[in-house]
Amino acid sequence: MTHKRVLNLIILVSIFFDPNAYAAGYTLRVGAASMGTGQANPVTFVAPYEYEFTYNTKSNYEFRLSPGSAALFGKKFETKSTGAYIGLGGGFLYDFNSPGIGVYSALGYDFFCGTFCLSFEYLQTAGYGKTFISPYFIRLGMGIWTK
Amino acid sequence: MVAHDKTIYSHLSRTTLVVFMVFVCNILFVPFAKAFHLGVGAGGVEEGDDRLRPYVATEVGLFNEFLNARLIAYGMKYSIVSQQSAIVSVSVRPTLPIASTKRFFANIGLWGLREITKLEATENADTQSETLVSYGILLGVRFKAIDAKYFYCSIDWDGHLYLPGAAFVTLSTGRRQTIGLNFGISL
Repeated sequence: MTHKRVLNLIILVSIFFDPNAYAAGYTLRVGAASMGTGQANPVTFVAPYEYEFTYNTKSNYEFRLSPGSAALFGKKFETKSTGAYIGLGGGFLYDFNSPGIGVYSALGYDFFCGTFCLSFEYLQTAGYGKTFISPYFIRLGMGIWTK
Repeated sequence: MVAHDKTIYSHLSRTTLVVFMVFVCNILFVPFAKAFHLGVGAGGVEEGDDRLRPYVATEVGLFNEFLNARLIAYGMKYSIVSQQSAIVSVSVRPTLPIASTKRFFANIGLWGLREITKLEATENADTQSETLVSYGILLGVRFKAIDAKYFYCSIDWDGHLYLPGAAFVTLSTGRRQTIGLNFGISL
């Protein structure tokens, strides 16, 4: 098992130098966000934190970047042939109450998949900075998959 | 502040009694279950404002963790305003293939909320009460920290999402998030 972990680590480091060689998919999502000051309001397409870019490696690791709300790293677990998946991981979080460090779980569904995939996802986070923070997001998006 | 805390906990003690009664009633399920678990829990519920309020819960699961029902109760009292909430959910919990263990589960289901907000009578106004009923989908994860032969302890992290009618087209949603610890017996 150890050599697998080392291999995964090498892949993770490598993608910073040659993303195309190791990428399995890129997904851009946009949706409603709750930033700690109430429930998720209608999507405006203007606020940067409504957007999220996800980079998936062939080993199903994922990097999530959402300007103004989160920078996360984790792993995606897919159910066989149904399109449903769960992402688990952690990273940096930010909502209107405080920046912080925390964990996330993303429950989503990929549909109409070919080279392109439509995606619906609920992303919940929980972390701690100056106070407990827990922004969440309901997003729709499109992905490009190479695997 | 001290008086405020006392009020919350006196309210919770009544709620705890209700949850305990439901827990006892759940034992009726035992003869019908193939493999079941029965537990109680406590934790915090968050309503979009980054504040965790204490809750108590009871749950029953059938068919080796696959089909589950849970009752969560919480409340608060501020001055003349009091609120009592109960969330009932039914969910399935498929196992997640993480680290070759069977301790991680997804939690997917439906839930309903009944919330009573009461404004006590003052010199100028009578008692007013409002009941909110809502329902939606449950999406969450569960980690079984202890999975012994007859005992379990789990950490649950669930998002109870409700859809505000046609406004869901804009992806607008509401949520009751619960993060808690459960423990109980499994047979």
